[in-house]
Amino acid sequence: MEIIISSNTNQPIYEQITSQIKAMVMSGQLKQGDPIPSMRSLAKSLHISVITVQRAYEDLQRDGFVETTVGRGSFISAGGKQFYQEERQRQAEEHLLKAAEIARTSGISLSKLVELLTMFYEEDE
Amino acid sequence: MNALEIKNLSKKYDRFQLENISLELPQGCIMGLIGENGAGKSTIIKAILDLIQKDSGEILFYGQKLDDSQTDLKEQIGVVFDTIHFHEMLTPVQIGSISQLTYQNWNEKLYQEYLEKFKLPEKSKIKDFSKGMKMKLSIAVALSHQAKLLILDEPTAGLDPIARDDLLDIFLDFIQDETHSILISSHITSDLEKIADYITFIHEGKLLFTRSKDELLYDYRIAKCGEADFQKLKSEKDAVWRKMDYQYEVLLPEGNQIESNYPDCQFDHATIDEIMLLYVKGERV
Amino acid sequence: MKLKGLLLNDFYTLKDQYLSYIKILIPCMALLGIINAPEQINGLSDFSYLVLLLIILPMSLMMALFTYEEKCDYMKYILTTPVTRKNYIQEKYIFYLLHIGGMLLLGNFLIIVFSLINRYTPTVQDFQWLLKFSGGEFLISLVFGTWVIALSMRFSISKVRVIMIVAMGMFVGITVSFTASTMNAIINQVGTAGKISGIMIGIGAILLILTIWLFVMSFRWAKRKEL
Repeated sequence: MEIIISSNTNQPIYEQITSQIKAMVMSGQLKQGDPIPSMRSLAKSLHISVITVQRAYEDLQRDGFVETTVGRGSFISAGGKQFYQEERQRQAEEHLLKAAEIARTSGISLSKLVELLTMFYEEDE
Repeated sequence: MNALEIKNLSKKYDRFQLENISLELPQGCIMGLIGENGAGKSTIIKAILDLIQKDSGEILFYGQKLDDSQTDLKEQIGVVFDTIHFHEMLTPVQIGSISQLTYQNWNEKLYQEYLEKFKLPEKSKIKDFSKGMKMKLSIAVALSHQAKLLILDEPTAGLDPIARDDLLDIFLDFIQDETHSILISSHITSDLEKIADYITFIHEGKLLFTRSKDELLYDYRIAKCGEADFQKLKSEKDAVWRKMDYQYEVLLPEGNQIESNYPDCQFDHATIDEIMLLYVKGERV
Repeated sequence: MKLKGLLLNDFYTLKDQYLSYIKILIPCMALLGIINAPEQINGLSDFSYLVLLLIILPMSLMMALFTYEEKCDYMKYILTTPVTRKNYIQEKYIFYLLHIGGMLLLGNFLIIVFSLINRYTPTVQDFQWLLKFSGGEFLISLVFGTWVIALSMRFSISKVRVIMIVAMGMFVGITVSFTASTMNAIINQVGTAGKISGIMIGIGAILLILTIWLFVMSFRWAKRKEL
């Protein structure tokens, strides 16, 4: 498992950790039941404060990605992936809503919008 | 139970006064004590260790009051000052022998391991040690008697970046045990930005705030703006500002929540140094 | 146990001082002991260095110790260890007593050895005299030691040094002035030898009371010392 954090960006380190772990779960690199380092040892390895890792783990637990049991450590949990998908879909919906509003109020047609969306979607494939 | 609790500590000197300092250090955490030179950080540390008398206040270590006779409590506290306080002609081996008689839980084997790990020549007189080596020796002693709480007063001042990095590693190692805690007073805020969980800011004998480090680094903002926006920002919660030549600089503790309300201002993340600077040189309501 | 740790530290701290004293003193004493023997009281070898050993040496060692301690702020650190302020000052007195004890043994041993070297066998009377003399020196040494330790708890070592130099000066002055000739002169002036002894006992008593007071205060001062 690799976690790369940067202290030079404005993104909080706990967010960097959560997003990287979530990405690894989404890509299958981390599977359900895989152990992850304890909060303290991760803090030590990354040279950061414990409270930061704690925040990251709490967020991951809240979002269903990680389960921590006292005495046994932290493991990847199943529920996260689906929750994450739903969350991402919700984010995409928000962006699409904004795009629809902008299009409507500035006279951009629906078909033009669909055309743009298709172009953007297929661009990276 | 907190590792350390300070309640309403006050101490008056001729030209300086420590007023009503209260803070809590939970177990398993690292707290950084920051402030300018002379702000009162060392005074606080001396007061909690009963090295000076307090005018008022209560200090609790793991729920117990520390006074001169509480030697059992002192066994659990490791103290590191900015230099080693043994006579310069002593060697690490001699210091080990002395400490073995002084502490009940002295672990000579562990001490030797630290001496080796820190590459400290055990039979050399400490007058031949560099500042970094003296510091590492102090820490080796502090870590070799099963202390649960480490109190450090300016441990990294005068150390090169490599030595400082080594020390931070040691502190993170120490904190692997959840019952261990560290209180570090330092004015090298970059070190604290890396490993501290909480930061307490002391200024002119008063405690200005205790916050989690992440709050300071990610929630606080410094807004750079003009006169018009400044008049509005001034009244935001706990704002601290400074008038510069061409702009105002405003520190906003809840900056992350309000930055969208001020699209014309530049909102920067704050470093601990910048926060300190604004509190010291700026104005508040 | 803790006191042993403190003692160990103090011995280590003074180690180099011991060495330098040994290098200077032993040759001097040997010289005095062997050269001056025939002229001394009772045939015993020179015993003036006993005074040196018992009074000046322990006192200057103690002052050196406090000087080093002040320089490296030792007390500040040692009180963060499981050592109480009471332990700290108890150990100082014990350390001092060990020194006077050692000096007593060494000094008397050397007097006897040098006397024998000079073909004089000490008599029982000589031993009795030595005992009384040593006892007197022991007391005086104790007084000075208490003064150094107690004052060091209250004042900085540089001030203590000044005080002790003045005190020593007075002590030497008084001792020297009470030589036989001046004694006679004073007796003629003042009257009877009885009065002289009276004055001396008076001074001695005041000194003793002052010393005891300092001893008691030293613990209190150690408790209150701000570091």
